[in-house]
Amino acid sequence: MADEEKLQELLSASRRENWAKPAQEWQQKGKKVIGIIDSYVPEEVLYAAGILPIRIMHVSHKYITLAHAYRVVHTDAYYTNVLEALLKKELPFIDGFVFTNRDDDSRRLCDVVDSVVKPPIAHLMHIPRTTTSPAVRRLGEEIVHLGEALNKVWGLNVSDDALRQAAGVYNKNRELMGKLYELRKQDVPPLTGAEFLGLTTAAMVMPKDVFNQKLEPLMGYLEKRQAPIRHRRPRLIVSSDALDSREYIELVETTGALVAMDDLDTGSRYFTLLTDTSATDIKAALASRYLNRPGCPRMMSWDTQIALIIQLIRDYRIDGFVELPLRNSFAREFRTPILMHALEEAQIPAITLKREYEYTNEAQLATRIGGFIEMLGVSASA
Amino acid sequence: MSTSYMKYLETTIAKHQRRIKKIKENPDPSKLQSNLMLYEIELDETIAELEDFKAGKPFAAGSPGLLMRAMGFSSSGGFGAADRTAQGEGSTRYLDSLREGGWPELACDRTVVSVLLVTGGDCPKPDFFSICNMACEFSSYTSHAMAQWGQVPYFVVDIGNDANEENLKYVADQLGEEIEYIESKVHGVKYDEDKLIELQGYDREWAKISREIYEFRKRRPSPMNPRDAQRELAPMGGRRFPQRCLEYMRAQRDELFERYEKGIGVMPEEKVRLLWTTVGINYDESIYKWLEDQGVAIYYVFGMHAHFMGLRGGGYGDPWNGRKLTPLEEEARSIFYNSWNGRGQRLIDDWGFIAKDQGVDGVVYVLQPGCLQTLNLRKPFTDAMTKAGLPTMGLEIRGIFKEGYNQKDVKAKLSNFIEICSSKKQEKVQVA
Repeated sequence: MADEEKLQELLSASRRENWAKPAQEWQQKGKKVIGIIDSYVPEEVLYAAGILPIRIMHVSHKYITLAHAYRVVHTDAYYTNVLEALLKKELPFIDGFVFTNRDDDSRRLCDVVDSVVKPPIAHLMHIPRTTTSPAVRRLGEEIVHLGEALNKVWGLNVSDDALRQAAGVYNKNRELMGKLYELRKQDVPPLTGAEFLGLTTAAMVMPKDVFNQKLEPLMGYLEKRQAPIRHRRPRLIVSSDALDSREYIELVETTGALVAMDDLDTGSRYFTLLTDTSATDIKAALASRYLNRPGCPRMMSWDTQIALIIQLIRDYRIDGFVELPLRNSFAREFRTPILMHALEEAQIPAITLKREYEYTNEAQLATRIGGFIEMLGVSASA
Repeated sequence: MSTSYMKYLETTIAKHQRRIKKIKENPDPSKLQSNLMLYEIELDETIAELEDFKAGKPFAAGSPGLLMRAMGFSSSGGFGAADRTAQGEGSTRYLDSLREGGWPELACDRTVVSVLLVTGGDCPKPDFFSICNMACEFSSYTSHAMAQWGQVPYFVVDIGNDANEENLKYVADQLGEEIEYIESKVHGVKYDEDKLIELQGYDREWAKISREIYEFRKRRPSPMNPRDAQRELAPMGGRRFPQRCLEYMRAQRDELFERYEKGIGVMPEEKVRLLWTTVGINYDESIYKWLEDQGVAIYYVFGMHAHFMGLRGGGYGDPWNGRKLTPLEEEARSIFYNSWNGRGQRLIDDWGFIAKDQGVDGVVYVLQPGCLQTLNLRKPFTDAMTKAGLPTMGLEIRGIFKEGYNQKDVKAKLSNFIEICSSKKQEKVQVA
C-alpha cells in the first residue's frame, strides 16, 4: 500500500463511519472499552489495565428525543448528545465510563449516566483546577482510586511497571504528534487543518501502540508531503473544545484561509507535554503532566493559557485567531472577554463565533468567517 | 472608578436610611420587628465599607470569607450586593452591561453580576481574590475573570468531590499556602489565628440559633410566612459586625416564638408546605404575599446550609473522625461539606433530608439558567422525591434578571402545583 493510501486510511479512522471500529475489535477480543468525554482522564491508567480508552465523538443527533428528559436545552450540547446516544443504545461497544469534574455539568452527566444507563462503572475523577503541589498530590491519589475502581469492578490491576510502560507508549505518541505539528510552521504544511484534526482524533479512538505503529513509518513521507491546500494565507489558529467535526475546520479553509495551528482539546492540547517516565513516583509524574499541559479554560490559569495562545500565534506566524466556542461551554465563555482584550492589546485580529455541537449553520458561519478573512487583508493562494 | 463606587455606596446608604426611616415612622405590625435590626446592620456595614474604601484599606473577595476577615481584609457585598441589584432598574441595567461586555448571558445571574459590579465600578476592585469552587464553578470563573480583568493577585483553593480525609488535608494544605501567598503579595494584612477562632465561634453560635429556628419551623401551621422564610441570614463570621448579627438572630428567634404564641404572623391556614430550592424571585416580592394568600408555607434551601447548620454533622467544633480539627481544618471542612460539590447524591440527600424533616408536601425545584449544579440534576432529584412521595415541579426563573419573567405564568404554574400537592396531602391523610 502506498504511503498516501496508508495516510488516508489513518486519517479516516476517526470519521463518523469508522470511529467505533477499534473499540468493537477490542471488545471482540474480550477486552474492555472505557468511554471518556474530555482530555483530563489519565488514559495511561486504563491502557495499563488492558482497557481501551476511547474519546466519545460523532454523537450529534438532528433531534434530541430522549436526553432532554434529563438535561435542559441551555447546557453543554456535547454532553446532551452523548447522553442521547447512550439512551438510544448507540454505543454498545463501550463498557463503562470515566468522567471528570471538567465542569459542573460533566459531574451531573456522570450522575445521570450512573443512575439511568447503569453501566458497570461510571467513575468520577476529581481533576484539580490548579497546578500547586497539593493539587499534583491530590490527582496522584485520584489515579490510585481509578485503579482501585477498575480492580473492584473488573478485577483488573494497574502496576507501576505497567503504568510506566503505558506512559512510554503515550509519550511516543505525543512525540510523533509534536514533530508533525512543528511542520505546521511551514508555508505549506504536510496536512490541512482538517486533516490534522482527523489525525489527532484518530489517536483518541485507536489503541495508542497501534496508532504509533501506523504513524511512525509515515513520518518521512509526511515531512515531504505538501497538503492539498487552496490558500497559504491568511494563516489562522482555531480555538475550541469538544470539536470533533472536521467539517468546521474545512469550512474555515474553504472560505479562504489555512488553519495553520489549533488550540483544541481534540488537537494540540491533547498531546502537548510528555510524562517524566524516569520519575520515581510514576503516578505523581502522570498527575503533573495532566495538570501542567496547556490548560483548558476550566483551569484557573487563564493568564498562562492566553500567553501560550499568543506564543503559538507568534511561533506559527498566525494572521488571525478564530474562536469557535461550543454553545454553553461556560468556562470558555467566561474567558472570552479576557482573551479578546488580551489579543486586542497584542494587536492580533480575532473573532469569536459560537457553534453548535453538530455541524450546522455553515452558511452563517462562512459569511462571518469570510468577512473576517477579508478584514485581515492578507491573501495568498497555494 | 472610585467616584462611581463611592456614588454607589452613598446611594445604597441613602436607600437603607430611607427604608429605616419609613419603618420607624410607620411600622407594619404584620412584619417582623427584628427586621429593623438587620437593616441597621446593613446600613452600618455599607458605611463601614465606604470608610474602609476612603481609608485605603485592603479589600478581598471570594471564599472562604472567614479566612479573609481573619487576615484583616475588608470585604464588599458578594452575593448580597449582587442580589440587591435585582431591585429596581439594576435587573435590566446589568443584563445590558453583560451583553455589551460579551459575558455569558446564560450564566447564573447571581454570579456573573459580580463581574459587572466590579468592572462597572459599582464595587471596589479588590486587592486580592480568593478563588474557590466550594459552591459552583461560576463563582470561580467570576472571581477569576475579575482578577484577570483587574490584574489583581489571586489564589485558587480547589475542592475535591468528597468529604473525606484526603480532601481535608488537601484543602487545609491549600489554605496554609494561601496565607503565605497573601502575606507575601498584599501589604497590610496578616493571618490572625485567634481572630479566625473567634469568627468560627460566631458561626457556631449562628448554627445553634439557626437550628432552633429550624426546629421551630416544623410547627403547623407554619410560624413563618413565605416572605420571611426567604430572609434567612447566611453564616455571619465573615460579616463586619458578627456580634450584632447574632443579636439580630436571637431577636428574630425570640420574636418568632413570641408571635407564634400570640398568633401573629402565623399562616392562618396552611394548605401546603413546599420546599423551594436554589434561588428566590428577588425582583418580585409580591409573589410571596400571593403564596401566603394561597396558604402556602415555604422552606427555602440554597444548598449548603444542611451542613452549615450542622443538621447532618460537620458544624464548627464538631469532632472529625474522633478528633478536634485545627482552625484551618475547620475551614477546610466547612468548604468541602458544601453539598453543591461532588456527586449529585450529596445534594439530593441534603435537600431530601430537609424536605422530610420539615414535612413538606412538595418541592418547587427552581431551574435557574446557568445553574449547572441543579439544572441537570432535576431528573435524579425528582425521582428521589417521587420515591419519597413528594410531587416536584420545575420552575424556570432567574434570581436577578427579570427579562422574560411573567408573573401570571408563574402564578398559574404554582396554582396547579399547589392543587396537586394539596390533593396528595389529603390522600395521605385519608389513608392514615
